[in-house]
Amino acid sequence: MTNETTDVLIIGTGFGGSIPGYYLAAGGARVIMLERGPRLSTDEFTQSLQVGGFTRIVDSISGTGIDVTAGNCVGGSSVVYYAASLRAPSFVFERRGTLGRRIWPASITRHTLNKWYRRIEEALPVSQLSWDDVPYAGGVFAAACTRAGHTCQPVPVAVDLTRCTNCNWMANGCIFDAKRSMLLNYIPGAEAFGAKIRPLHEVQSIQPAQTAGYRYAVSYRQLDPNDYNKSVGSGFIEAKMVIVAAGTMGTPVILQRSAPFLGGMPPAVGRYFSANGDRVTVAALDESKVHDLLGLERAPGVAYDAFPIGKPISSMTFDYLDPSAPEFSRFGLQQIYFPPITNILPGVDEPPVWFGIDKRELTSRWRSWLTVLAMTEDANEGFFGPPPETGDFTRIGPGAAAGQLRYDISPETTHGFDLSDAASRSIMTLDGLASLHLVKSTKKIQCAHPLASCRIGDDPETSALDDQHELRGHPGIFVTDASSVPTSLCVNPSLTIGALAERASSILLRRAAEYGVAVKPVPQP
Amino acid sequence: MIEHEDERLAPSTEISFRFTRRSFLVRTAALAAAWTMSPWRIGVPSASGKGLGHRAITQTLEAFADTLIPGQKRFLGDRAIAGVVSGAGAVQAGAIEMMNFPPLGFRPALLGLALILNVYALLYALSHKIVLDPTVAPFVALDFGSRTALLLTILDTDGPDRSAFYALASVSFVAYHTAGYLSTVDAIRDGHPGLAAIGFPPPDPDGLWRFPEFSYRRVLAVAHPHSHRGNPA
Repeated sequence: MTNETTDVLIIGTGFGGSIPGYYLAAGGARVIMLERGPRLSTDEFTQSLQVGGFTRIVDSISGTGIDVTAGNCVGGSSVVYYAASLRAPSFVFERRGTLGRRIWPASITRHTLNKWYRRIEEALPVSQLSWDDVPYAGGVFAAACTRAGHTCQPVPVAVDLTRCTNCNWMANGCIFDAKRSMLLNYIPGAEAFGAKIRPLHEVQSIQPAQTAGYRYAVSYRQLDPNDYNKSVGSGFIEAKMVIVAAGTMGTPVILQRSAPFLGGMPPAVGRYFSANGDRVTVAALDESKVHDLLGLERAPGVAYDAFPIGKPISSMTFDYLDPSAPEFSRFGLQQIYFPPITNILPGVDEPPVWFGIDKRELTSRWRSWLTVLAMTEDANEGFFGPPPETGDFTRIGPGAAAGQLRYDISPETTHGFDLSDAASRSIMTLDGLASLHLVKSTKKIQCAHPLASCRIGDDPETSALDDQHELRGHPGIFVTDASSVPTSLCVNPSLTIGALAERASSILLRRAAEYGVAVKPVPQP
Repeated sequence: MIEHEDERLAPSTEISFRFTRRSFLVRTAALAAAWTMSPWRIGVPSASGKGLGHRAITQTLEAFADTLIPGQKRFLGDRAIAGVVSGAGAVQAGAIEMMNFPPLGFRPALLGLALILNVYALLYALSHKIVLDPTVAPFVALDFGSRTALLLTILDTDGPDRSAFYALASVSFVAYHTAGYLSTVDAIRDGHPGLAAIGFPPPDPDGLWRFPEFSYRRVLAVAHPHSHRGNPA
């Protein structure tokens, strides 16, 4: 039997897969992209909370000590993300963590990455919000910051503002094609140059190729679109180069499973996971205080009452991003919306803290909620256990999975959470503006920004990839997704993931010839 | 051989005697045997389930959901719902429908969870010297305060059953807060009580959500002095 072959095999179609996919295809390489999830067109996205709908394209992966949300479709997490598109502050690239030495590669600073930030901002593209574009929730957060003596500004978003209806259904995929996911730029760009995208192809492992001239063979299972636990086929594709971009929750699992075939893996594969320091609190606003203290009124007699209206992220304060402050004390603080499927999380003061009569009363004021997301500096304390027999995790229901990730929160991360909780409280509860509610139904970390499970760096012991995103000891295997981002970022990570993928793509184009793939220079999509 | 004798199933001061895995299994087996011979009769509950056998299990699950998100009694003599508040709770919002919703795949676990819950309820009653009404399942026979206290011991500790009951609790929350067994358009059109209670907004007449009025349209803060085009320095 002759195996299928290609120049470049890309695992995953999110930011990390689509961006190199475009550049390599446009450069003339034969590119095949395998995606674990389904491919949905715009008219297949739904504005519905019904289980079985949005759960086709997003997973909640339960680990030990942590729950992670991640995309599962062509376009990856870019389809379900909130499109906040911020450059990480300069100090992030100088972080030393608990290791006591610089974590990021010496070749990457905010200054050197700015060039790639500009490219991804133009390609998506990213819009600057004016105050007229900031929804009510972002306005209340900004006014609360001002009253507490803080600065605050609109958040840049990858949204076409002329198409956006402020419907607040971004987590389901955008039915108006307003949110700039990979489905609207890099993926059609890649396909225009001949890249083949195969949804419902779940990669299992990477092995040595059998065919002369090809370096690796990638094995996959084809999944039943109605039951991702069912396999309806399998196969191998041989490639000269492999780009692993299965996401922070997928990439290390595939590499761990490949270790016996490839003669081992660098020790940092599946270690040093970061939850981006995500920390959520819920402010339940007193509507009369919104009116009297903040001077806000959106309709006669209505001060706010607008949690479900708008773009999910719209305003943010940078006041806690002081580069001179000690590590693990800095964080971005941002207004954010979550759909009511997360309403189990926040608690009240008296037991039973997350269920019962008082909790019911709290949720009856849901329209007066305002969620605050802190993105702190965590200590990269997550690690992956042995991989499951197949797939990236064990699916236990629609959109629900049990994974091998373990996150034992460190004192450093806890310190950052304590500080960010205090900051949220000082802003949102000043003079009784709101009551503040922490997540109490679970002791697990809630993470929507998984990072760093296969990170770049200069130290072989603590980074699985070199500064060119190549997997140490395995020439021709590159990792270009969120797993390569070495640390938490204090902002939403998508723009940095995209900038690193842009930078990595330029490296891949330059080095493709080393692996027998001829490519030419490529313009931006 | 006695295995796991020292593993505590419910490390709580609320239940005065010690649970062990073995004692738990013995009690579960005994209760299951008793159950088959009792008026409760074992049956897998469903939204349309009828008959006494279904009712005991369904009532247990309803009482569980009602303890999490309470509602008012549906009818005179409603035993499952404690009736500690006015207005709809998780049961009226479709907790049992959600538990049985086929895509969720939760249905096979319901019987076992209801059985375990009733074992815990029986043990709770014994340890608190509560005389249970034998005509309903033990958890249903507990009053709201005891149901709450018992769920606290199960859900707010790190016992081995915690994750399963937390999943069941999550399903109840999803029923109330999202009407997750219905399309949201249909749920709102039909007046789903949970979505109504939290104030989930209705869609436009064409069934799509849009908010043309969404902003105060005011400058409400000053930007950080070192920010540039919305980015931190």
